[in-house]
Amino acid sequence: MTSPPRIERCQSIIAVVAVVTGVLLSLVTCVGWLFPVEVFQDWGFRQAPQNDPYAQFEFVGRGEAVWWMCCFLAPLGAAACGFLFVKRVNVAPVVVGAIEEIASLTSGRFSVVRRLAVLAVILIGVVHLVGGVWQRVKDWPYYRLNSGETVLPNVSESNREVIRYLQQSTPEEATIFIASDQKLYFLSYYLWPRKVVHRMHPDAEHLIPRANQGRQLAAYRLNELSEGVVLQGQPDFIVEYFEGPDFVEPERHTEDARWLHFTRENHRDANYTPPFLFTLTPTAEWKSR
Amino acid sequence: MSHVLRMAIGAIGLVALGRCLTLLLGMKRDDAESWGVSVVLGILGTSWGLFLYSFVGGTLGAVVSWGLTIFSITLVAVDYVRKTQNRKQEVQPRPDPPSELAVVCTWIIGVLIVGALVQSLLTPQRFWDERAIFAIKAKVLWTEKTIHSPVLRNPDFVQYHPKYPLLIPLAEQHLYAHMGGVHDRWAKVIFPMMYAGLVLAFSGVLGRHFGRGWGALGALLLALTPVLMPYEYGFLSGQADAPMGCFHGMAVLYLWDLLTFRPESGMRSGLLAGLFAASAVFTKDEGIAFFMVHCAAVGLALLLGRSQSSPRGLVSKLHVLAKPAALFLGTVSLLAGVWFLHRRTLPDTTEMSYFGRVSVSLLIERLPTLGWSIPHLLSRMLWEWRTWGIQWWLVLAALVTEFRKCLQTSQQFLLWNLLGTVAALLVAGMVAPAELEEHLGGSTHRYLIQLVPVGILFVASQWGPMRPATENVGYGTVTAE
Repeated sequence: MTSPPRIERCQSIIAVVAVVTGVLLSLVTCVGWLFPVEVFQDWGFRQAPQNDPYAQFEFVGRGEAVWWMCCFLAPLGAAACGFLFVKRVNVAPVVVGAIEEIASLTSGRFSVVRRLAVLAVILIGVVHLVGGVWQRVKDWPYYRLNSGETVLPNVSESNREVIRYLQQSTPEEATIFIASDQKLYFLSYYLWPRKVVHRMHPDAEHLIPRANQGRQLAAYRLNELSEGVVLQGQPDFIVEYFEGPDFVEPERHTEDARWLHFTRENHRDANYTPPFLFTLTPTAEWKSR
Repeated sequence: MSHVLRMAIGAIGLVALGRCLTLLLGMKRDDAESWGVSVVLGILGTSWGLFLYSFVGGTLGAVVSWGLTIFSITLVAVDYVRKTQNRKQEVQPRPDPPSELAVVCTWIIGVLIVGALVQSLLTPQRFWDERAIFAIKAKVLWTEKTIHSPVLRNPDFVQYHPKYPLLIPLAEQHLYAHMGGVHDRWAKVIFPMMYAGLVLAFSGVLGRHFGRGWGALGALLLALTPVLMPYEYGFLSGQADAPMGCFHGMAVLYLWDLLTFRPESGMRSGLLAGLFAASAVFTKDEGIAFFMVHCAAVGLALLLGRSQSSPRGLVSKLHVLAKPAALFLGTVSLLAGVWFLHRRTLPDTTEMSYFGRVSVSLLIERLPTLGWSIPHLLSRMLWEWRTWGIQWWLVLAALVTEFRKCLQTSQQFLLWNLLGTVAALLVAGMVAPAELEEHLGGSTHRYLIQLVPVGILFVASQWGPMRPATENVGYGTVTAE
């Protein structure tokens, strides 16, 4: 049986916590609604290290995420605090009852271990939940509400460029055969419904690539594959795409004029030459060579 | 109608289908267990249904997916109306008053579920496995409208693990069919739904055994495990590890329920365990090993469990267990059998072929790898608690503090199951055709996600309030509550 003094004490605690938190969250809400998002973005910009445009991009985005939270999450919290304050007479017995029930359920032998375990799980869980919310704030600059196709997340810069080029240079129903020393899963994913076909070297099947070509994967050069293999899936285009030091052929990096034009425009540099080999050839043209 | 709204209707349709299935199973109460099982059954029922439909030549797409959703929602609505009318005529027994602890925990769990849903939908699919293995298959299924697509059978088509199961791709395809296009961010809704289903089902089943308060507290401990949520590779992503945790955890939950020999457990628990175990097989290849572990763990628990000391007890319990066990085995064999028939037609590119590679000579040859993999695994489970949570410390604490309870059949089942699944990982590390440290080092944390629900079930059942001294031998059949 819960004693009335405990419930009264709990009511007081709920009232104080609800009022303090509610007032704070209301102030935060006011800040969110009174100031435009640019103020938050500017604040983010000022937190970023100077001369680091990537960090500035991230911090501006984080400022924007914080503004969204001030505008929409904080009022929800304030409303919940208001609800708690109004209903504290009903809430207090439930909270006290719950605490007493935990105490009773974890009583007996090794009760200290059980109670500490429950407390530890809750504390660690709360710390991680706060960390999760902060992680979403950090994610916001990159993702916002854009689709994966727009963002191309966790894709290398070179992969990204190749995907963009193939998206604009080939029709959606095309089948593309690619000879490459790269794992092409993300190309396949973002280029679909274009079908990406590739003959994988058996020695590369179970190897995981490393960042910045840290691991050279075994691969077939295009001229090492028979015409039968290349044409098996009736491709509309043939691509050569090699980034690893064992396969790049610098003298061929300027071979595909359209690709060169695209990548130079992309880099806003008329003399830019990509550090990797990429060529796109229609199958009919490739056959005639 | 925007695609987000259509996704929401699709998600409601999944729950409605699950609700129809739980009603068919006689779970008619509106409690946490029924709703938790409904959510998970809805997702697996949809994927299995679409798979079998396409297997026999049906065309996937908007017609069949919308049809399924409308049919399910209509049935649930009809049932609701019928129930409301009956309520007016009949005097319903008052439901058990929920404990205060259950009320508080349920509120917190509700907030966690909403948090998981929002956080999950804040990012598109962005990790390796979720795109390279699962989402690419979902895109192909959406465009090609059949599991027999020549694209999926082409060994040169670029996808990782062509033989990997189709439960997640089919569920995502189902939502694409609702949205009318590929929106991989919104298709992620199924993952926090599985989180909700798992946690609610735990709350309900533990509540049946130990009282509502303890059930809800156990479910809260599970829901607060950081590696499940908000860790990025858990239920917030489109990776298959957390869904495996859900299906594997629920299969073990209902097998454990079965092995407590409570009157309310029985054929339904056997059937549910079978459905969840089959769905684990249909989610990731680890499910095959898990099924083998389930069978071995049940056998060992029955043989070595404390209550089996007298031959009479063992024989009588085997007799009681025969039908539900047959139902469990039959369900898994039937469903997984159809999947394996289809799997044979898929190419082998990048497959590790663990089962084909296991041999005594290879195991002996690779024995020294345990010198690295066991310390690595212990480190992941125990020393890295700041990142993954303290669940494995709790398992140890629960084992030590209630050692005598571990001798009971149901608890032994959980222990053998945990040991078996951990051993399966070590064996996989021994036989995989990949660099050990890179292979295991990059995957143990995700593999352990799959075992977390079993670990928490062990803790909650070890520390749960004492059950009645006499175990009930004999089940009711699948009955309406």
